[in-house]
Amino acid sequence: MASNSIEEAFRYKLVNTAAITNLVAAAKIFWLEAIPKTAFPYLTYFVVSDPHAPMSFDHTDSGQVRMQVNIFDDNKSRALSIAHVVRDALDQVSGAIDGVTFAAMNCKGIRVLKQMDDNAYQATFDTMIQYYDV
Amino acid sequence: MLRKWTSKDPKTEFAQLIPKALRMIGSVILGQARELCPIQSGRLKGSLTFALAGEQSTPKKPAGPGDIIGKPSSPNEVWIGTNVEYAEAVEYGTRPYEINAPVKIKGVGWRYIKRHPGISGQSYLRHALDIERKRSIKLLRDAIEADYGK
Repeated sequence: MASNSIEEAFRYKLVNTAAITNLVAAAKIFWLEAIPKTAFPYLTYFVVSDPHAPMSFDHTDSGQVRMQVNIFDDNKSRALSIAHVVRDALDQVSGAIDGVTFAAMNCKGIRVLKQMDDNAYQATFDTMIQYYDV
Repeated sequence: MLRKWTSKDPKTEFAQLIPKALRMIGSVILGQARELCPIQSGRLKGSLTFALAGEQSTPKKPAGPGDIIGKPSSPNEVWIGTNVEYAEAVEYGTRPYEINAPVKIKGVGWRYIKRHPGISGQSYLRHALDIERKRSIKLLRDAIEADYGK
């Protein structure tokens, strides 16, 4: 079944890209938050802003969305290297993805944040996606 | 439209125009960021501020006394942000984490918790920038047109 939102289409791209699932299993790719006690590394993604369609679910629109991608790991350099692979796999992707047309996907710089309990690192980057037909 | 020659140096005039436009852009994005900022004590919201080259930022109460941000070195930039230490965690989110400390929970009061549920999806700065991006460009264009004509 085709995606009904930009986030569903984005997930479809993530879990169907071998370069990404070789490093982070599809079962460890989550929207917004991971399920508790998920083993490192894992990936989360969510819409930061979609000025044309603030309700990104159940909303038909086209526009530009800012998607945040996070890779959590207890090893800083591994979190960073996974983030680089994910970013390279997503950057400049365009075309139809599970029923949604991605006109362009431009990934931004990666930053690494230390988590508050000092046990994990979060490598995060934004990607700007222009899309149609959701 | 032709513009009357005022004998002023155009470079000087333009240099005066840019801070004016940047101040408007900073105010618009800052206003939106304050609208979007999640509120617990109000410190983060109050600390949000903007700064231009050569001008210090002026955060509002209940920001702390040291809550000023740095300022750009280029006259063509405006910086919008905060120096509150947990601002980054709110903007980018965190995973659930061990805390073992008393925490003030809105509507409940102080409670001792071992595990914080984490913060996610409460970006206020990037969201504000994306919402106001088009308006900011229009503000800059309007400022130029007001001084130089269409």
